[in-house]
Amino acid sequence: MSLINIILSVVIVVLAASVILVLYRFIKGPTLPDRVTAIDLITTIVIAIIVVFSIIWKSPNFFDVAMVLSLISFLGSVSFAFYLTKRNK
Amino acid sequence: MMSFHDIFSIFLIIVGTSLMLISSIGIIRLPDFYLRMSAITKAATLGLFLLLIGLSIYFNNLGLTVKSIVIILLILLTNPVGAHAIARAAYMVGTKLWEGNTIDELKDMTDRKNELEKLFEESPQDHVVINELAGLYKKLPEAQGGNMEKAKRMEELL
Repeated sequence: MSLINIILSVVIVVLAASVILVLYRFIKGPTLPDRVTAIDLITTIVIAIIVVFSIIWKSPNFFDVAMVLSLISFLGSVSFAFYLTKRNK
Repeated sequence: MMSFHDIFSIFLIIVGTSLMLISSIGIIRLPDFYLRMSAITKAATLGLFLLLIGLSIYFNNLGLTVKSIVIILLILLTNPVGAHAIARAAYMVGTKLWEGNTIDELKDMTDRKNELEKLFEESPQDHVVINELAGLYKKLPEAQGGNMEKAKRMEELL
């Protein structure tokens, strides 16, 4: 096992730990905007996890998944912002 | 024996991963929605940027590099815009600021506008009041009482 494989495994473990940390805020978060930003951050971390996994498994097709996910997360946060402003009227 | 190329790219990968870990610690530790927002948007965007750059330098593969650059461009374009939209919506809904916060310029401007509207009803001929009120109507967003038509009417009075 070469050095880069060990480093990529450590990277995956650290990223998974940070997803768990963000999930704490998602469950606890006092307001709805907190939860929306937590989901946004989870999507960014999941993109990084997908990229590292696609390199470990040597299957470059997963990169397209990461590209689509980055667009979807933008759509999600903007539509939640729209819903937040319109909800109370 | 590791070359400079390997050491540099591994350094970038480690820094990127640490930034993403820091941003997820920030979303737990910081006291207020707006502070959390600033921490996670900046740190997570830069972290993903450095991680992808490091990976594409290490593996030196054309397809991987092009796809990484596309992901980086999409993230750099969309993440700040989305964060701005959510923060704006949260302010409109009335999410509370941290109690240690001392500056809220939008609230100061809204208060000044209400004060000036009262002054304008008392003395409609005062040019200083009309001038400042027209400026405020132009600057403020619509949800806080900004209104282009009112601004034009004020300028006609001058």
